[in-house]
Amino acid sequence: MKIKRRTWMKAAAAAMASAALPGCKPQVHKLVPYLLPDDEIVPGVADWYASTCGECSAGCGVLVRTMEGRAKKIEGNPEHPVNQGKLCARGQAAVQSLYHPDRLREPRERHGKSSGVFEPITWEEAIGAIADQLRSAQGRIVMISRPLSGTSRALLLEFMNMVGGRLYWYDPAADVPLRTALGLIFGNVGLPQYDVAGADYLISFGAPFLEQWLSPVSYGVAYGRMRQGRPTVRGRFVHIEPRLSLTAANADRWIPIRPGTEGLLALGLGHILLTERSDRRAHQRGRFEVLFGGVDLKQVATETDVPTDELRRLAKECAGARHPLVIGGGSACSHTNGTQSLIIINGLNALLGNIGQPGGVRFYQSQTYPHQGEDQTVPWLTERLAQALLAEFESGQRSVLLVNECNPVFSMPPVMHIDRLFARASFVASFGPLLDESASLADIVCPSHHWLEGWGDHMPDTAMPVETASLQQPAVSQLYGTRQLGDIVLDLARAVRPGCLPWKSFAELLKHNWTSRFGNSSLAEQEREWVSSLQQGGRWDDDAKPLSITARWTPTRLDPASFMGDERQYPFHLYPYPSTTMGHNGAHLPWLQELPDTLTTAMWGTWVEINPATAASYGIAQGDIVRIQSSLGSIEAPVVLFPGIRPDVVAMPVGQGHTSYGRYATGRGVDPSQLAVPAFDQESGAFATGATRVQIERTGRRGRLVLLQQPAVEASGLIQVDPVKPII
Amino acid sequence: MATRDAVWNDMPRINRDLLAPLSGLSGRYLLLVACLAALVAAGAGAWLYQIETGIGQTNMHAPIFWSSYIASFVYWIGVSHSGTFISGVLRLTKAEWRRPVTRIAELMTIISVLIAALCVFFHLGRVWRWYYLIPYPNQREIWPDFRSPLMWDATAIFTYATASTIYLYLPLIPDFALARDRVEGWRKPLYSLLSLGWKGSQREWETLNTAIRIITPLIVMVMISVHSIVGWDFGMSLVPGWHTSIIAPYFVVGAVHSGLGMVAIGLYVVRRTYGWEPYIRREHFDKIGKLLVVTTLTLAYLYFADQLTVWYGKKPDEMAILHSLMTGDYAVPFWAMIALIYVFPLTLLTNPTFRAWPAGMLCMGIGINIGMYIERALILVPPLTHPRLTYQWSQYFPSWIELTILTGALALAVLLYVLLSKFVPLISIWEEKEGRLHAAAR
Amino acid sequence: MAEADEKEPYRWGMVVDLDRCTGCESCVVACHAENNIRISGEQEAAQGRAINWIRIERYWEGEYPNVTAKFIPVLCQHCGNAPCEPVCPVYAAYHTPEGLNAQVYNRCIGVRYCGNNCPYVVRQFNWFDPHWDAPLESQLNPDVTVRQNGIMEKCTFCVQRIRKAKEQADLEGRHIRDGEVQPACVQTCPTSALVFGNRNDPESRVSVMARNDRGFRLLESLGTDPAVTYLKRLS
Ligand SMILES: Nc1nc2c(c(=O)[nH]1)N[C@H]1C(S)=C(S)[C@@H](COP(=O)(O)OP(=O)(O)OC[C@H]3O[C@@H](n4cnc5c(=O)[nH]c(N)nc54)[C@H](O)[C@@H]3O)O[C@H]1N2
Ligand SMILES: Nc1nc2c(c(=O)[nH]1)N[C@H]1C(S)=C(S)[C@@H](COP(=O)(O)OP(=O)(O)OC[C@H]3O[C@@H](n4cnc5c(=O)[nH]c(N)nc54)[C@H](O)[C@@H]3O)O[C@H]1N2
Ligand code: SF4
Ligand code: SF4
Ligand code: SF4
Ligand code: SF4
Ligand code: SF4
Repeated sequence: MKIKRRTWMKAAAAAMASAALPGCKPQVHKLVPYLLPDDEIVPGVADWYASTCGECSAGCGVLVRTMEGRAKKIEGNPEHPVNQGKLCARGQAAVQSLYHPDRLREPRERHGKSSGVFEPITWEEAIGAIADQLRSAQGRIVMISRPLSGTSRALLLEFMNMVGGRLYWYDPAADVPLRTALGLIFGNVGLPQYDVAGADYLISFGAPFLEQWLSPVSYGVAYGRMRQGRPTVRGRFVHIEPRLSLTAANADRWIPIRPGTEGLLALGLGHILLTERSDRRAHQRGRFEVLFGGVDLKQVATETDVPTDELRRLAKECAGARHPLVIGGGSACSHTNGTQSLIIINGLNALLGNIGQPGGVRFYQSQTYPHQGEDQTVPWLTERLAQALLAEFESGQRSVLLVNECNPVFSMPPVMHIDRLFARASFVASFGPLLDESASLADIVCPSHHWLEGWGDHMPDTAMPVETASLQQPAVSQLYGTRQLGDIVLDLARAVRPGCLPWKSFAELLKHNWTSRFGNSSLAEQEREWVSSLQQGGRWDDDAKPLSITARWTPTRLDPASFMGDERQYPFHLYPYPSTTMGHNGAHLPWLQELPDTLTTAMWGTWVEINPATAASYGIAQGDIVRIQSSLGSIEAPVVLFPGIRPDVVAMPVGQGHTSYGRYATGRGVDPSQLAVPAFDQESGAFATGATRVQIERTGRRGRLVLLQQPAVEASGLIQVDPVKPII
Repeated sequence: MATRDAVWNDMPRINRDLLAPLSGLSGRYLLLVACLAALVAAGAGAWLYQIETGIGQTNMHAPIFWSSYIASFVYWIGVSHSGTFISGVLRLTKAEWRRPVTRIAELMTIISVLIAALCVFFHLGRVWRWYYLIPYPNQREIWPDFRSPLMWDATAIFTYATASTIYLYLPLIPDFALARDRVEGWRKPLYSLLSLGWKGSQREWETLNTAIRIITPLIVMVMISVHSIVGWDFGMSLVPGWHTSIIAPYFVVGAVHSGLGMVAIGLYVVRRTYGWEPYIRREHFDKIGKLLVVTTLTLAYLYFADQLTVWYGKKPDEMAILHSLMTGDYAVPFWAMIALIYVFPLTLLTNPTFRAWPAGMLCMGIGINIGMYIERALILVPPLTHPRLTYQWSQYFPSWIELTILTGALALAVLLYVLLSKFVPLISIWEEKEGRLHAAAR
Repeated sequence: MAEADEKEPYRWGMVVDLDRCTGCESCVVACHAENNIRISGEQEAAQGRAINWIRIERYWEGEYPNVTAKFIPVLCQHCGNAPCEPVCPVYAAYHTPEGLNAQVYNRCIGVRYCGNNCPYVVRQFNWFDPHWDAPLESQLNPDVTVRQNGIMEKCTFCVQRIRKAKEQADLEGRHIRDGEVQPACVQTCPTSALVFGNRNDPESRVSVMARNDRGFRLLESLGTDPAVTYLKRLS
């Protein structure tokens, strides 16, 4: 018989304590409960509300747990087809954006164009002031909004038509080149569903589908299924990106490609598939010659820095797979040839014949609820478009700018001087919840409700196999004197042209839209359906009709990506990527600030990722402050030695470096886009964030680098303890 | 060699010499007390600040949950073994030279046990709930968990403190009586109370000696048990580097090592201060030196045995610690420690002329104590900073608050000693006389 | 309270499928939201005092270009033979009959011996009093104690949710169904890498998955008998 250590200790204890303590383990349980530990607390009763997460445009279904009128916790709605009960970190943190201490609590007016002082005003004054401006601006009215869907989108369009203005969507995470490419190939049918769950072999050209891409949670769910969801098949997955991103870290194989050559690699892959492995698809040759015909594999290998046999291996695995799938985005979008690359990358799917197939690229037709993407009447505000607006605003005419829940002044590179757009507009109104960089340039800020306080509905951004429409309802009564965006718009409409938009309130409009969908059943019937929809969080009853689409293959140019800065003077590619934990706009949430970046384990700041070999050649150690310099500017940040990055690339997370975004974000970290040199994706006009070249320089100083792993403990000024070298 | 008569005639002088410190206050004395008091006040202030604002004023963080306070606790417990060991073991072995040394050492014991206990309170996250550690009757019927080595510890230390006090007190009775009959003023009633009406009758002497003879072996046993248990606070845990069977004997020997060093310091200071060269003679330093050689060798042997096992076993979790000591973050203190507690003692103390050189022995004592303090810290910190999941590796160095509090504790120890010296004869007068008579008898 | 043994209807456990876990960390935020875990702030985080009841440990393997990063979510393993329990002098760390390693906050005096003795370093200590800028505190979960300065805390397997499910089951006079209790981290995990359930029911999902041949337990050789089983990642 074996005696366990603690068994012995108990025996010893029993011996020692026989007087004080009769017996041991059973006794423990008799003694402890009288203390009311947590496992004895009587749980309170909560009210749950079904709603839709408004933190990004994926629109996951949520259930909000409230007690005594306060939102306590947000959970995924298990019934909801998009996220199937799951949430991302941002969604979990949404309660903190509701209870953020720096939320605007009432409308405010700026004290003179130049001053930064805002003074509270009443809603009547605010609405009146904006309405006057709208009336006096002869048609030169521009609204920049985060992408909205469903009723709010319709209302916004109607309103802008009424006042003769133009509406633009703006979202730094939109991957506009991808949308443009898909539009060129498939027409305006919106984003397809990349059926990751059904694929058994997945190649991702930089698409960060396990971070913040299109619909993070639904792709997370799909990934889980692809790996372990099927009894016999385990999907394999190869990721192609200059940096080992969180997504790449999950791949079976990571291919560190030279920045900007993703399209070329796809071309090479297509060429091999076509010429050497297209036996199954011989009939398709003709269709794809235009695309993959004349390619020199040697050149591909040298330019992409991916050996030819790796390429052949990819082709072999592709051809051998039953459901191969190719996706592209993220880093592939971030170059001057982004759209071109993505056309070719998505072309591979057509070549592999998986369009419309399970485990492939699938489109669905939704009759009842039109998809957000399906008509492109609302253009995306790209940086190039912003330049055009800027030029247009030059001329002295009156112009009004309306900004809703987006922050272009921060998230567009400073070199775009988007702030001038705000300066030149004769009047700017902002509807955001915080006084962010853009709002603080407005003349009037009219804070709208948090999505947990308001009404709304949402149609998924990407194609869904079931017809899905989600509902937002107030889970808590409004905290402050804010107003529902829809109601602000209706008030404005009333003020500008009375009787044009008849709805008393946005809630009424929403309910009308929905009940009218329920067909011409009785009012009571409609009421019942409405209530059940609210309880369920939306409607997803019937399957959507698969949409068969034939891709149009025009001969496609693929220009080499151009880079800004002389290679000898600026030897490194700057690789800015949206912070894995905070994304472009999550820096104001303390939970996300304190959420360790999974790969670097860094919190509460910005850092530079450098390949250890490169760092060694520069004599740079973990935690050293380096100066990153482009032809346009320079910033400083502490170094993280990052084994998973090309030696000729330095990466920095985007999302920090705010000058005005609430107490947790303001003045924290730096924003790499300060280095960005102007370059656009030719087709879409999106800013080519990956086009900037930089040099790095030691400063000799050490900086604060807050890590969870092996913290470089700050000995409160007593001595300088060197950070422990990371275990590599 | 003096005759019995000479010794008898000498008695009044002995009384005068050894009672002298009790009376009169020099300016230097008051100045010293003032300085110490200031340091103590600073320490107390720092502690209150730590209690008020949070234990976070230390530099502890996961996984370094124990640090300077516990290291100091272990250290002071070690020091406390000077008294019991010197007087206890030497009394048992009837070593004649012990006589002028015992009292000086026993006072150290009492004081350092006190300081050690204090260190535990510094360490508690919610010190205001310290009484949860006491098994007191309560409606909720909650008892401390005696499976926890910390409870064994608390019990042992309480026993040790009480026993040592008695052990200090018994031989004091005749001296208090002596003082009672020779001092005037406020001390007189106090001494008469403490001397329990000692007359010096044959029966009283026999009772006293019997009592001492009974308690002496007991105290030695308690001493060994106490530091074994302190060792087990570490040994019983799963922490690599702590979880070793050798740790208990190692701690005991280490304690005696630092204790002897402390005695050397004490002897030198007392000797210099009161010009007691005739009482505390070079031979005493020589004897202490010899004992130190023994402890050095034993300690070195145990330490080597332990580290060799680690090194040969090559278990990654333990090797990580060994490396951090020999070449890593903690190399500097580690090699300093090796020099101070092993190399110097072995090279110098094996030389008789050095042993008989009081100033040298003073430095040796100081060196050994610094070394042993480092050694305590190194037993504690490197294993904690190298947990098995390397993701959690970290570093530690004490904060200003920690250092201030611990300096205050040190000052408190010295202060108490200085104050007691005004009140307790630092050399056991009757034992000294007895010794001389024995010597004359031979 | 009865004594822990096989006769207990429930013995809670978790399975973590490393082949699914993407390191997205929504489990971490979910745990903060559910369990009133303090916002430590930059200063304390810089001193290594940020509190996470579950963390995603990342281990680099190999060197560029053949480098991989492996993730492993580490939370309290609720050891059946927990080293942290017997060393606590005041019974603040104890074992519930259902196999949870529980913590009595109002009993803990902050000795931190348990912290040293947890081989997984999942025990987290409150070095200062927590603070929430108003109105952030409105979000705090009333079913979970807010821990003060000087107290040890750690993953509880969301005991308040287990408790809730028990009450419901008792009302309906039945046992808790498999999958009825979902800790916050399990509930939110997009890839369903985390599975929670009753190990005393051989047919429950955790029991079945724990028998998977990819299964292993963290530092199992220490004999701590963890209630958490990990399934190996396949690449
Ligand atoms: N968050 C929160 N805190 C509160 C309150 C609140 O509403 N919310 N209410 C406050 C009020 S009004 C009160 S009265 C207090 C009550 O606070 P407590 O009295 O501390 O909590 P209870 O749950 O009432 O009971 C304490 C313990 O008594 C044990 N117990 C039950 N029967 C017996 C018995 O026969 N003998 C012994 N020895 N123990 C027994 C229970 O198991 C429980 O663990 O809480 C106060 N604190
Ligand atoms: N299951 C269970 N039941 C219990 C007990 C238990 O331990 N367990 N404890 C019993 C005991 S000891 C007590 S005292 C009772 C307590 O039971 P109650 O008296 O119901 O106390 P609460 O439910 O805590 O508070 C009642 C309401 O007062 C509201 N309130 C808070 N502040 C104010 C205020 O300033 N003004 C007004 N008007 N309202 C306010 C709170 O929001 C809450 O809705 O519960 C008893 N019932
Ligand atoms: S992906 Fe995350 S943030 Fe976006 S809607 Fe879903 S839960 Fe909200
Ligand atoms: S939520 Fe799930 S997938 Fe994401 S890190 Fe946690 S365990 Fe891994
Ligand atoms: S993991 Fe650590 S804290 Fe949890 S039970 Fe095991 S030893 Fe205790
Ligand atoms: S910290 Fe609390 S739980 Fe841990 S040992 Fe000390 S008293 Fe027990
Ligand atoms: S089980 Fe609950 S407490 Fe434990 S890590 Fe998950 S969420 Fe946190």
